Amino acid sequence: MSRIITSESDTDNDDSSRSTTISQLSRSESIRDGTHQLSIIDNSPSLTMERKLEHYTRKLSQVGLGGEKEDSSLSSDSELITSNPQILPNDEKSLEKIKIKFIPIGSIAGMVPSVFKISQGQPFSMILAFLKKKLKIQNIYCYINNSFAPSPQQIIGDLWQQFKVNDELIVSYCGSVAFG
Amino acid sequence: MNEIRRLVWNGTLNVQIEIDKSLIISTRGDKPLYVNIKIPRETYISLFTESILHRVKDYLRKDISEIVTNIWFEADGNLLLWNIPIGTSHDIITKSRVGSMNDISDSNTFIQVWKIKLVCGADLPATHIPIVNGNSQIQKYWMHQWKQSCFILNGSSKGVMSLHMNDSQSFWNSILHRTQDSFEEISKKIIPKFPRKIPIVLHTKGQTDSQYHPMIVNVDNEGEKKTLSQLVEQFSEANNLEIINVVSQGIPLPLDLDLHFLFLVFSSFDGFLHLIITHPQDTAQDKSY
Repeated sequence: MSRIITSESDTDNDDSSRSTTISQLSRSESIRDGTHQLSIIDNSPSLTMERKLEHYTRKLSQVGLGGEKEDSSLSSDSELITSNPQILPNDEKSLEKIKIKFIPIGSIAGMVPSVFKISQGQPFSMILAFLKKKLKIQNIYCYINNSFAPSPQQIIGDLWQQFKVNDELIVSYCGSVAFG
Repeated sequence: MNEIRRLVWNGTLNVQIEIDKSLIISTRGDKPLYVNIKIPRETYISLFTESILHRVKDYLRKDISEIVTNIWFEADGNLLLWNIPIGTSHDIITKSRVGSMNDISDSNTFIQVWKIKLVCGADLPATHIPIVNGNSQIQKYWMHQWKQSCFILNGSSKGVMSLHMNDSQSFWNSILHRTQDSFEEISKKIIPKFPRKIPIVLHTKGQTDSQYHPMIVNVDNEGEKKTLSQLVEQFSEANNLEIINVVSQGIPLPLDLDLHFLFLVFSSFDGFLHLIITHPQDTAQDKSY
């Protein structure tokens, strides 16, 4: 069951400054129940209209004006990332979002856009699952700062605190082993 | 200091492993099958999976190669994460603790045994990292732990990445063959005399179920030295530090110790200092055993 977190005011503000945070609804990925979400930071103007349409459709649906059909089409687009049952919904710190920058290594497809936001209480395994699903590949190898692969159980917020560069955690990824 | 390092390196656990009944041939009936072994505290338990299964191969339904990828270990029904040093897992899970040999009436014959279970199944637990490439996969995981540790200590992983291939292999062989001299010699190339930060993993006593994620913290080592009590104060929710116990390598630690010193003497074979924090309610539970 997906839970939608709305942050319209943020989205609107970001739209105006062209550094847009796509609403979590439109661009989040769900693996299980979607209590915690991954959202995308995108600078592409081509998505603005689509984003606004989705935004207003969602608003309509929230006040009961949107039809079921629209709702279902939205949910098929939405990609809400899995929740970690360990994280309590009332644990505010674990819900705070941090930025992750994905950098492809070698011939693997790049992520567009490259910067995502994710709740910091998630384990690193969530990123592996997200990339595998997004890139539609079986194996993925991720490295922090082009150096090491952290334990899948490590909390992303811890990694971000310790290894962030300009407030972003740099995650390089590859379809085969890149750094030993 | 060298003597403490030697004792830490040579620390062992007496482990009784009950083999999953689904693996055993029916002629044994319902009789449980046990393997008793002594495991170094400073190792990953999965390095022993094959040797444990070899001990009971005459009673197994299938060939070892068919089942080895579907194996994990449990203690008291909780998953034992193989990627944590087994000594640390023991300190987190085990509830009975012998404070002193003087407390034991038959100290001449007393042996403390940890009972765990080897489980086999098609559905692996959620946080268990499947081992599909045997020891080479474990070696790679361990090397990345060292790279992360090196990054925290030095600000980059070059110390590990620039190791000569022979040194890398000797480093891993020192874990497999329990050669402390070789291990210390190579780890000295990675650990600087004055590290920038200290890699520490904080565990909470009693929490190793499938949802458990240890907290990895970097302690700033530049400027004023930090003590264990400062670290606990920062990361524990308890108000009264006097009722908190911190254990590393099975030893309760005084809270006024310097963290850099602790890292030098108690750090594990994966390059991290593993600390287990026992909160008051856990202490009460301990005493009841």
